[in-house]
Amino acid sequence: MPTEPSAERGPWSLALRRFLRNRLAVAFLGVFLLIVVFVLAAPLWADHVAHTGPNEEHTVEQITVDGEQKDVVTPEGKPIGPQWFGADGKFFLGADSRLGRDEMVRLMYGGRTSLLVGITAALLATILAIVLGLLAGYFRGWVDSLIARTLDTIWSLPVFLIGLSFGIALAVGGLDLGFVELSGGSLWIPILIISIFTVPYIARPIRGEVLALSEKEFVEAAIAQGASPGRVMFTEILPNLASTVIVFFTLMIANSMLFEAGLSFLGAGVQPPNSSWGTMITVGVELLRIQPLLAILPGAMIMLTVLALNIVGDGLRDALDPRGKARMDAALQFEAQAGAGGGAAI
Amino acid sequence: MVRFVARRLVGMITVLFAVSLIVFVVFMVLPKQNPAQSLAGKNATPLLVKSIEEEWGFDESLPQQYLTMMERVFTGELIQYEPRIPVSDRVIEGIPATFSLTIGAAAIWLFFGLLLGYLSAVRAGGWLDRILTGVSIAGISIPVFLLAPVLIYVFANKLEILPNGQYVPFSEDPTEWLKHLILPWITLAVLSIGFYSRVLRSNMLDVMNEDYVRTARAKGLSERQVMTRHVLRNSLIPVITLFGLDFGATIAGTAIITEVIFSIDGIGNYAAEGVGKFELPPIMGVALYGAFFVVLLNTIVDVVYAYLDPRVRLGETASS
Repeated sequence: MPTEPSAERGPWSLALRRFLRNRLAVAFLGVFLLIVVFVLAAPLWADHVAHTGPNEEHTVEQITVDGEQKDVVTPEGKPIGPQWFGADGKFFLGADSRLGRDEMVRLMYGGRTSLLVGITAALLATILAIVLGLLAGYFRGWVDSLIARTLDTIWSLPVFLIGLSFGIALAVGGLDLGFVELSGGSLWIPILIISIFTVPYIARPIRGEVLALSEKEFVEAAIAQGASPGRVMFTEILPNLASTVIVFFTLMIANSMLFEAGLSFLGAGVQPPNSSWGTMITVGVELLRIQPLLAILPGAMIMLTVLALNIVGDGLRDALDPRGKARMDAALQFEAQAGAGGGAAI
Repeated sequence: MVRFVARRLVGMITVLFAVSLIVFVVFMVLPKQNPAQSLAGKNATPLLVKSIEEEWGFDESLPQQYLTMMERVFTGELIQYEPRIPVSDRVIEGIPATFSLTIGAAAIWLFFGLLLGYLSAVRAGGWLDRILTGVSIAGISIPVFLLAPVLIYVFANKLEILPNGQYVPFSEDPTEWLKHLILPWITLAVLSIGFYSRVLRSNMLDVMNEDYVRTARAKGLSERQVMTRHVLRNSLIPVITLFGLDFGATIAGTAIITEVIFSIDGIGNYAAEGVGKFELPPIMGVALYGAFFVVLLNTIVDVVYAYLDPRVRLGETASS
């Protein structure tokens, strides 16, 4: 194929080409998409293969495996192990606990919750960060001081510990903001907690970039033409932030999912009847001796998803900004904090 | 220096005030439920709820309620009601276990993190560097709630060479203390080993390009002397700052999860028990004491950093 001169291609198509050349990142993008398909297929598997829902209990039932009757939960309370297709897909990965719920169905539905919470929280944090970063970087002065100080304060909090207490206080008492009321079991509670505490990770680099961009000639030109502050911020500066936002959003999803898993594992995140990979680990750890897969499977799913997102994020960063060393350092620092999901944030 | 310390102290007090205000708002103001009911627990009698309401003065103005809360928390009058024990007593009981876990893990991650980072920087680009980079990336990617169950299953349940957790006080039996802590230490350290080795490696590679390193080589120092005296020493400062911050963050983060999985009777496990029973006083206490400890620690780290590296405090003064 003849290579066209790069001047004729837009920066986005060049970035796409660079990304596609990064085999590792493309492979892990595939992994992430497979995970998304896996969790989206939850109702199909539940209705047509497992014939049970994520919260349906089968405490005293028996299933037929290769013409043989087996207890889903033995009288001693031991759940059945993985049956694969032995029972036509029922209890593919076994039962989850003495309640006898289908582990495979729960893994798929739990993944929905984990991804939903992770993506929504990352989206909220990103939107909030864009608004705060634009305001602080554009108006400077006291607006910038106020926003920067607030972000610094959140940054220096032990966010996991505070998030944990938020999670449990609101799960016990529900949330009453005057204009909106949330019950204790609402998924919005962990989403709000995670997004508020992770805003600084993305708002700080955005603010820095807005500060730099607003010195540029095209911004001065727009102001000289009489553009309003809103117009300058959203139509002049915002499009130039796109690559940073895309990279950080990807990394934020990973970070939010780790945060959610940590909170949910301790019981301060997703509340019953919802379940997530984090809450499934709590159940699994109790049965570690007899059915180790119950704790390890959801943990491995979290790790795979987070790893995939981090590698895709790295690939996007290299593709969108091959020479932006400063931004790469900021992203690395971010991963350090996010690793705390692993190391510092949780 | 005095100015720098003063600024940091003001910053610290602001953050501490913010933390206490956040905790107050979240526990007392935002929830729909009556806060006295939340504090008393699920199975509380109306009589107990009534008495808590009076003790905490929930009919008074919000600023007054805030002051009452702070007074109770810091005079040991924050009480868990089932059974009735001051939260501060339980937190103090948990200190030896939590610190055995976190300090031991920190020593391990610092030692191995720096060792791997140094080896990989010295051999940058070689096969050893590639293997070590792979190992550290794998380490960074494993969350504690996956690593801990795997370690317990392999070493405690299958091979039966190490206990599956619990905590034995050092004063009772030092050998058992050590044996019971090995798996939790590894769990907590693996992630940071991976991360520290990468940070040290990239710092060292940056420093290697500095003029003074070329000068050191030019004046005939051996490669080992250049690496340890000039490159390593100058690469360590940022790592040490990072360590101070991470140590606090670990206590208030992954250590809680590790304590729960390994049933170590530390402060984190105490808070997690409160979460499980929907009991608020322990969580409120641990959040406040923990946050105060971490913020204090961070301030000390900042001051030490400024003392070690004058550029920090001078930069601060110049920009202000």
